[in-house]
Amino acid sequence: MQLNSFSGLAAGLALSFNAMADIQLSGFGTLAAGLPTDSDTEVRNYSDSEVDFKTGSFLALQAYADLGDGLSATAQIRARGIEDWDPQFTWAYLSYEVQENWRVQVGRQRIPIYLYSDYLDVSYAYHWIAPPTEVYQSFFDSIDGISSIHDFSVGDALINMRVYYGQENTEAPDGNTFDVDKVFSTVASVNYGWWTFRTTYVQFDLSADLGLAPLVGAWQQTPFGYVGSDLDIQDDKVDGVEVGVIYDDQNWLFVAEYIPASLDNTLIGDFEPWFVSAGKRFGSVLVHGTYGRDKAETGVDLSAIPRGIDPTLDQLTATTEQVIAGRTRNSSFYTIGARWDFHDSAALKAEYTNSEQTDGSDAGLIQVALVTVF
Amino acid sequence: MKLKQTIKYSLITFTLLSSVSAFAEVAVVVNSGNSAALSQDDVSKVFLGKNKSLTPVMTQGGPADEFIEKVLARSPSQYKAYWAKLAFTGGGRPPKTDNAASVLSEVASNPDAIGVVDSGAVNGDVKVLFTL
Repeated sequence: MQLNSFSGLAAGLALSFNAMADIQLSGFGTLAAGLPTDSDTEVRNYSDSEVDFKTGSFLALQAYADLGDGLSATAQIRARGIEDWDPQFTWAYLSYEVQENWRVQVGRQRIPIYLYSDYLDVSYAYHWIAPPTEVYQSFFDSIDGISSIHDFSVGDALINMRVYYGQENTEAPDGNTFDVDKVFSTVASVNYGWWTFRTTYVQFDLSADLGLAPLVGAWQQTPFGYVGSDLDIQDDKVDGVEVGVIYDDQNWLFVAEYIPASLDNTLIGDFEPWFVSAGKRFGSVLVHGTYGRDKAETGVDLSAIPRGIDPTLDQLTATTEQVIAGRTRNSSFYTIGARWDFHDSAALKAEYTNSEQTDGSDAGLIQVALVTVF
Repeated sequence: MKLKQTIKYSLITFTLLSSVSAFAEVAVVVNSGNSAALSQDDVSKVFLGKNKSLTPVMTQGGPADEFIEKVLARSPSQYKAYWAKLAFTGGGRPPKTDNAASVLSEVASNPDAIGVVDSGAVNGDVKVLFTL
């Protein structure tokens, strides 16, 4: 998306065709600075040996128009430093209130796989600078599709049930592309007093280009072609579950989340990340600590490959083992930090994160951020 | 000199006291045709978007902050964070804020409105549910 279409949208908003439309503009942003404590490591996309103001910074604008009779339109545009501030439409959907407490949304929208997915970018709404990427590692967070959202109460408990269906294509900063199709997801959350309990089920078909085509092709020339198809992700089915809990009595905060997912017999394999986080407020300051583990195993099986018979096969096996090693993790991380609500619409946050690398060494990251809603 | 000081201090004391009492007087008002018996808990649900049967509207600052702390059990910034979360997920819009006169006229004219104002501003056109 280029800036001219961005201003085109702004002009469109200003010259609203619907005289009845009540358009509300709001926004949020994070201006973050990060510095890894070791120069040759990468933690949460920070890898420079000097202070980096770009990687974790972004601004977003949201326009909401009430079109009357239960219909509303929402658009959200986000520009991220890591994408050279190229603005992208993160949301663009129409919402229709079928009945009180039941709405249907059609268009581009966030898919809430995780506890914090809904407001992933709204740092003002939670304690960290951003949810831990060691755990929140999905390669997509929005879909083009349809959703049904139902709210009801049972006694004092508020229940929210949602169903999503759609698709998405993404490209990771490292150039890998993901084609996510037939996404089906259900989300149920229960809010009772200071407690929120949530669970998600998600499944989708995945085709991914992880830059491994030569390796896949080489395996297919051998009698062990199945290794090639394990490495090649084409219309493979991914299944995932999430369970999470938040307790926040405005004094103490406690959060836990566990997200097992699997893609059988493929390079992406099984994931089993989790974290726990706790915080305590002292007036306008909240101090917090988080501990978690990022566990991933690939589903590529090399056990039947004979070793030391054919040099070409040995070399293929060695290369494949390296690829597998790069995708196998059982690493812990922790973050300690503070949030200071110094202003009505802004907060200052500081964090130290220590993230274990795949080779077992530790890497640290210091981050400071100014977060805002407006 | 001494008298002057006494006057000065009592004036300061008076100002402090009156500002404290001005803060303390918050009224939750509904349309005069609304006969529902609403508890503080019910009102809290409306202002947190958990109950959409009434349309909430409130003033900003002073009395509203008092209401947010006492009835919604949150600091004003926590209240703002709560609504940021909902508003940016399409889960609702925060209660409208306006000046006291507009809050009162909205409540007086809309049978489903519920307002939070400085109790000193309350007039006969609305019904006071409770004060804090």
